[in-house]
Amino acid sequence: MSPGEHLSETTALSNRAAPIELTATPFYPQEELQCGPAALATVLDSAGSRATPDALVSEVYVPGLEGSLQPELLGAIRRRGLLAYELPPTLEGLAAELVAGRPVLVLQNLGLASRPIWHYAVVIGADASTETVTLRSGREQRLQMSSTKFMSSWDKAGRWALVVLHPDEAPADPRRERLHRAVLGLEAAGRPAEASQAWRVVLHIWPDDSVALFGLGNARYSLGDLHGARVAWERYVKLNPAEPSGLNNLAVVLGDLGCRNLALELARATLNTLAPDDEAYPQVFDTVSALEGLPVGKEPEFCRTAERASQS
Amino acid sequence: MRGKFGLRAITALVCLSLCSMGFAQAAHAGVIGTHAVAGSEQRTAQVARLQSLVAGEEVRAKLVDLGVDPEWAAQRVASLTDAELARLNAEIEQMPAGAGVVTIVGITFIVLLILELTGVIDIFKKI
Repeated sequence: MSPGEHLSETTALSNRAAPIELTATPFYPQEELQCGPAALATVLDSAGSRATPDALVSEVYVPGLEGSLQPELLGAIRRRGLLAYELPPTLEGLAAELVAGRPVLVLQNLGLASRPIWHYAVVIGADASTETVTLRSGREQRLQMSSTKFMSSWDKAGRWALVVLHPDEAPADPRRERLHRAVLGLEAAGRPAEASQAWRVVLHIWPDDSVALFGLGNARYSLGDLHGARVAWERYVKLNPAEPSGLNNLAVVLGDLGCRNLALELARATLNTLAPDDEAYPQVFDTVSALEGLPVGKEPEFCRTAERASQS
Repeated sequence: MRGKFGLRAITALVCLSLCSMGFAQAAHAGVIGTHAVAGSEQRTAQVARLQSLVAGEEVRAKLVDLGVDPEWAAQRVASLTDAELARLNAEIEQMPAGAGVVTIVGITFIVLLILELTGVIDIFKKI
């Protein structure tokens, strides 16, 4: 249904006289049917994370399917502490990444919609004057394809594309939900240090991004930076005063910091606002119980300082 | 056309199953993971985007043409499942949109897709 898109119509390329080609992109000729590991090695290597296709086969290749699934590729990137950012499904987004110097891993369907032949390749170049894209594809180091033919093959594969980013890098065309998903992947892969860096990038673009503040708190908490986690969650709670997850986490970290009374007050007040069938109820209930079990003692000075700070 | 939509649906499902795999992992005992707030925020944003689209003059006109009450359509958007929302948003993202304005062709397509997802018609199944 979408009208054809052309390289010459993208803002990223329309003003460029010279074609782009990321010639430094490594080339891994593909072994039998293993386009996933080859394409993945190409983009990982370009991002400075050296990995040979052979080493990746066991991670991403599913012998029964004679191929790799997208989640496997995403997981392999995240396990290396890198961001797997799935691009918006437009030629514009793809061209913008090339201009930024990043090769783009794409899924193509080289067959028919009804009889698909799936293939992963890496777009490394684009020429708006001739309407061609250049790919590292299979055994071809420099496969040139007309943009029309490329768009057709990409379209039939749901226009799936990704770039590998360092956690302190932003994509050329950052979309909030897509960037959230990429960083959440780092959290899920158990890489809090990188997630923390990446959430800060998100906050640099959108300073009041609630999800990033919440995530930054979680990353810091995982890293044992309790004061840092508290700062992030206090900002989150200020922006979302009635949201129980943020209040719960803030109460937990305050308890960990030795601010039992303040934490308990917060957790009990939160629990009182929740219906028993609320999704957050069991967690907040547990938090209240855990805080009640903490020894009562003299609280550090910074508890009350923070209380004033959080109310200002 | 059907094949294409089937494929998109599968792609969306693969993605969703991936997301929920990630979501299953809790951050720490006592602390709620980020997925909890990201998921609900994403849903709210997607619903809001679609509702503002449905509220647009051209889309309203199209819906009225088709004999559908625009208010009703807006309400139905809020009751779409996450997978359906993801699919619709993926379609909208592909529209060549200049400054957030979707073309007429795009609007008609989106209207039909909304109607299909909300169960008014099952046009795509007949193609």
